[in-house]
Amino acid sequence: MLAIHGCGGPVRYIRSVNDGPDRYVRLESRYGHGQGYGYDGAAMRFTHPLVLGEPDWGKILKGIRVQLRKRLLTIGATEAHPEEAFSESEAQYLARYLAEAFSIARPDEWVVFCLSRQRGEGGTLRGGPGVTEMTTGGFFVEGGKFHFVLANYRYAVSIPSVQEQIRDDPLRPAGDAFYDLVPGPHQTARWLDTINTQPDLTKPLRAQLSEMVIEYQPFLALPDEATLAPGGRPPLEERLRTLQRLRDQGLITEEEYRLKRQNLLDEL
Amino acid sequence: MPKKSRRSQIALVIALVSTAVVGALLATVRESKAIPAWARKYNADCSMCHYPVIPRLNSFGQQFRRAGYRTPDEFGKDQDVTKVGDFLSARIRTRFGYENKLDRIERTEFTLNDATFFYAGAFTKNFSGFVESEIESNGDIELVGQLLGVFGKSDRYITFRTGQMHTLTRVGFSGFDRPSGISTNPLLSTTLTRSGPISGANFALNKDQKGLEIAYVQGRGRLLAQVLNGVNTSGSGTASKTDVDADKDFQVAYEHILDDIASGVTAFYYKGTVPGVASDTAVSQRFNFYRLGIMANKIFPVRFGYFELQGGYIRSSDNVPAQVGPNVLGHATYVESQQYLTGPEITFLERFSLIDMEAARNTVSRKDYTAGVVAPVQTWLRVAAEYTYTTDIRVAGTSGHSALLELQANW
Repeated sequence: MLAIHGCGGPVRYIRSVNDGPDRYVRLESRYGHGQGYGYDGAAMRFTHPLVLGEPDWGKILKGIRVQLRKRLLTIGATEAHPEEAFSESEAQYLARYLAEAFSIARPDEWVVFCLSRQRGEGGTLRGGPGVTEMTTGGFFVEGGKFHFVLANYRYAVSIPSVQEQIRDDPLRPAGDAFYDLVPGPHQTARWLDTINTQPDLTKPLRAQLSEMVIEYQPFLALPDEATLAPGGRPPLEERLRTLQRLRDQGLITEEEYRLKRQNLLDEL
Repeated sequence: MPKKSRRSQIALVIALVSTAVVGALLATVRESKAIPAWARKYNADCSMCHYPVIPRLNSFGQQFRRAGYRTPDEFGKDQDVTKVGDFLSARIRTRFGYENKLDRIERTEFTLNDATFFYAGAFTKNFSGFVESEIESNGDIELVGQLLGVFGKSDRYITFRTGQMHTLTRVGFSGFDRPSGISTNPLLSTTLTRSGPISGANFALNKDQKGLEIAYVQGRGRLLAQVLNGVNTSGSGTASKTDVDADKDFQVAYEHILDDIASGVTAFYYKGTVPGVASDTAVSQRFNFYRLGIMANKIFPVRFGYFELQGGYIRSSDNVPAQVGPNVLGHATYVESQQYLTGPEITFLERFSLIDMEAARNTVSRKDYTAGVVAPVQTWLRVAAEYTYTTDIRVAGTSGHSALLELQANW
C-alpha cells in the first residue's frame, strides 16, 4: 500500500488492482481535508465490498453515455448525440478489474481508474502524436446506488508532466469538461465543484467533476436496449456509417453487412 | 495628503473592488463555457496548446502554429471548412489602469483595450489563413491578415507566410511569444536606441509589418528568413504610408524548442533602414540599423507546479548620418521569473529589464521592474493584475508607478 500526502490535499492510501503504463484500476482511500465525497474519512462508509460479475459491470459501463456539450459559436457543427462513454476495449478492461476491485474494496475505499491513449489511436478526436487523451475518475457503491464520478474525460494533454499529475490523482479535474453525462433509466447526473466537504484549492477554479448515480439493481434487470439514454440511439445515418466502417475494417463480412444494412433501412 | 489624490485613491479602491466583484460574478457563470475556435475543433481544453495561461503557447501549441494551425496527424489531409465555429473566435480585453508618473497628474482610467475578431485555421492540405481584426480603444482598427503555405511531412517541412503580420514578437518562442501577464516586455515594445525625435531608429521589434517569410522546420527547430517593408517615420509598419523604398528590411532567426512544456531559445538578427525624420523619401537622412539578440527560457517542474526562468540580450546599432547625429550603440537585457501553481492555475511573474540606449555615454536609459499575477477563472476568462515601476530618462512622463487590472474574455 502506498501513502501519498498531497500538497494541501488529502492523505491518500492506494492499493493497486491493475497497473499498466497507459491505464490502471486502483483502490484508494482519502483522509483529511474534508475528504470522502461529503464525508469525513473516518465516517465514510461505502457499501463495499460488492460482488458483481464481469457481464454486470460491462452492462453498467455500457449504459453510461456522454454527449458533446453545446457551446457558443458551434456554427455548422454536426448535431451531437449521446454516445457510449467507454470504447469496447475500455469497457472490457474496466469491467474485468471493477469486478476484482469491488470484491476486495473496503468501506473507505474508492475504486479509481485512469485510461490514456494517443489521440488518433482508436478514437475519433484529432491531435495525433504528441497529444495524449486521458479519462480518469472513480466509482463507489452506497446503499443500492452505484456512483460514477468523472474528473477528466478525453482530456487532451500535450505536456508529459501534466499527464503524470492527472495520472497521479484521478479524482482531480485538470480543466474544462466538454462532454456531459447523459442519464438514462435509473440514472441521474449532476455536476460537482468538488468531492470534498470543503472548497478544493488544489484544483483549477474553472474545473468541475460530473457524477452519475445509477440504481444498479433495477438497471441490471432492464433488457439491454432499455438501458439507453433518451435519444441514445444514434441517428440512422450514423449507424449506417458505423456499419460501413466495420465492414471496411474487416470486422464483419459482406453478407453480415448487407443483412444489417437491410434491417436498418427497413426501419425507415 | 491633497484632497484630489485621496479622491483618486478612493476611486482606485472602488474600481478594484468592483472589478473583483465582476470577476467573481463572471466566475460563477457555469452555463456559458465558451472556448475559442481551435479548442472547439479539437474538443480540447486550452491547456493542450497554452502554458501557463492563454494566450501564451506551450511547445505543442508552438508546433501547431508553425505548421499552419494543424496537428501532426492533419498533415496532407483535407480540412472541413464548413464548420465556421472551428475558425471564428473573438476576444475582449478590458482594463482598469492607475498611473502616477513624474511630472504628470495622477490618473486612473477604465479602458477597453481591444475587441478583436479572428478567422483563422488550416483551409486545405497545404494552405492556412489568419485574419485578426482588432478594434483598439481609440477606435483604430489594427489588422493582421496573412496567408500561410506548408509543404512537407510533419517532422520536416517548409512554410511561407505573407501579408500584414506579426514578425517574430507574438508568434515566436522563448520570450517572443505573447506575455503571460499583461504588458509586453519593454525590449520588444519600445525603441532600444531612440532618445528623441532625431536620434536613433524609431523601430520596435513588436511592430507588425508587411512582408514575406520563408521557414524551414525540422523536429523542434525552426530557421526563418523574412523580407519586410520596414517602418515609416512614425515607427509604423502597417500604416498605409509605410517604408516603400527598395531597401527592404531583413530578419533571420533560429528558434529551438527545448522541452515538452514551453522552454526554448531564439536567436535573431534584424537589419533594416529607416527613413529620415522629416520625410519618408529624403535620401540624405536615411540610415541603416541592426538588432542582434538572443532570448531563452527554461521551465522546471517543482513541487507546487512549475518554475520558469527567462532572459535575453539585444545589441542595437544605428548607423546615423553625420548631419542627423552620432552613431548609436545600445544594449538591452532582461530577466524574468514565473511561478505557476498547478492547483488553482495561478501564475506569478517578476521581470526586470534594462535598456541602455547609448553605451558610449554609459547612461542607462530605462529600467522597468514588473510584478504580476494571472489566473483563468473560467475557460473563456482570465484575470490579471500587474504593477510596474519605470525609470526612463529618454521620455518625459514615463518614469513612475503604473498598475493594471485586466479581464480578458475569449470565445
